[in-house]
Amino acid sequence: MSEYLVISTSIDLMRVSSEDIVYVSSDGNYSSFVFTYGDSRVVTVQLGQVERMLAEQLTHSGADFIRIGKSLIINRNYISYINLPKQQLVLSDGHATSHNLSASKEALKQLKELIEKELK
Amino acid sequence: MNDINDNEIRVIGGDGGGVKKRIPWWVWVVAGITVASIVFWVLFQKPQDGETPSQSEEPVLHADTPIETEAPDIWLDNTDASLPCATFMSDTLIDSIHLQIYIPYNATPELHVGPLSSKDPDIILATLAADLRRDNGKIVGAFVLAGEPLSWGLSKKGYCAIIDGRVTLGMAENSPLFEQATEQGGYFFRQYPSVVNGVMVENKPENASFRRALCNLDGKLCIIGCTDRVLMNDFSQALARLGVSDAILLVGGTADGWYRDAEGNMSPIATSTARNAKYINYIVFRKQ
Repeated sequence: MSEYLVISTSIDLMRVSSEDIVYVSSDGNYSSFVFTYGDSRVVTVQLGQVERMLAEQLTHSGADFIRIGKSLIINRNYISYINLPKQQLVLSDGHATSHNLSASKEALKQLKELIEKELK
Repeated sequence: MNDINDNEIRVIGGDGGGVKKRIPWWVWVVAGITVASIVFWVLFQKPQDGETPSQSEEPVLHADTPIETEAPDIWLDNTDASLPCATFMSDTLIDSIHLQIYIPYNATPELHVGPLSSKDPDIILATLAADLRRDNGKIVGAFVLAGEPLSWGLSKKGYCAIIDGRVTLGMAENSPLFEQATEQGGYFFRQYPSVVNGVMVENKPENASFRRALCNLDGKLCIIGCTDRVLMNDFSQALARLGVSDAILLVGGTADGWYRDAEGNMSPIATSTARNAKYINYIVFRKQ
């Protein structure tokens, strides 16, 4: 059963299934959500608050999300490619457009090790 | 949530700490020695006879000072029926800094994005407003143009909002005026804060340059620039001493800008370089 993340501000409310979130990036005091259906939405909430809401609201699927550095939260279900030398992280659901992101080598190395560790 | 740096990852909803890098043992040793040294110094350092705790001569806010309350929504009244629609320039010397003060009368402030012609007779004052990013040419920080948000984000805590002709200058991490400007067809941009409630705001030191600021001086909205290269904090200090109650910095250096006097003559604010970047943006005062 899908879990929903709800972000409510003084002027609007966003309700989205956790499965539809590909990643969230930080833009200062704002956070930009990118969804599987190709849409994106900016909310007036800092990335740290998004992280807290994901942890609090998503009892089961919260662990699907990984904070990478200061400016990125990704849904691990959409990780399709990691390249350390190129500092490249590609997220894709296998159908729609893939998302080419960048992160530090050290963070990507830890992400790679985390995924490898979970295979064992 | 604990702080995180760019070389760390953290599983959300998990134990949260399993993937973080361990702190090397020597960091703990260095930290311990440092703490012990500080404790020793605090306990055994005695003030000299007659010595009083040092105090700065004037109050200073720091750019990272949290400002809980919004700046007052002050109606900056630049209307004067006895004057034409024009910009009046005066100058003064504060702390050896030559300041030029441009006060536009009977005009409407607004933001403009894109190249702007100094030949437009309806514009009596214009100068670059928000900075552009060097990597992609987009606007730095939140920016609203006639109700349309063009940029989001907080890199500078100062802001200017123009909503229904009301101008607010202030300093805050989150300002509801961004949303208000979006809803009401207004304007909003961010820049370095310079003066808040008459107190200078200390920003990170930068090289000396020609500075320019959007100011509230005696209830009038004006632009103040300097004719010499000065440090940002020295410029802010001079504005506070001049009596400016609120100010944010504008694009400085050789930024494009000009004004039109009562005779309709156009003069540049500085030796300027016009640019044609897509997101180049101005604060403009147009004839009403």
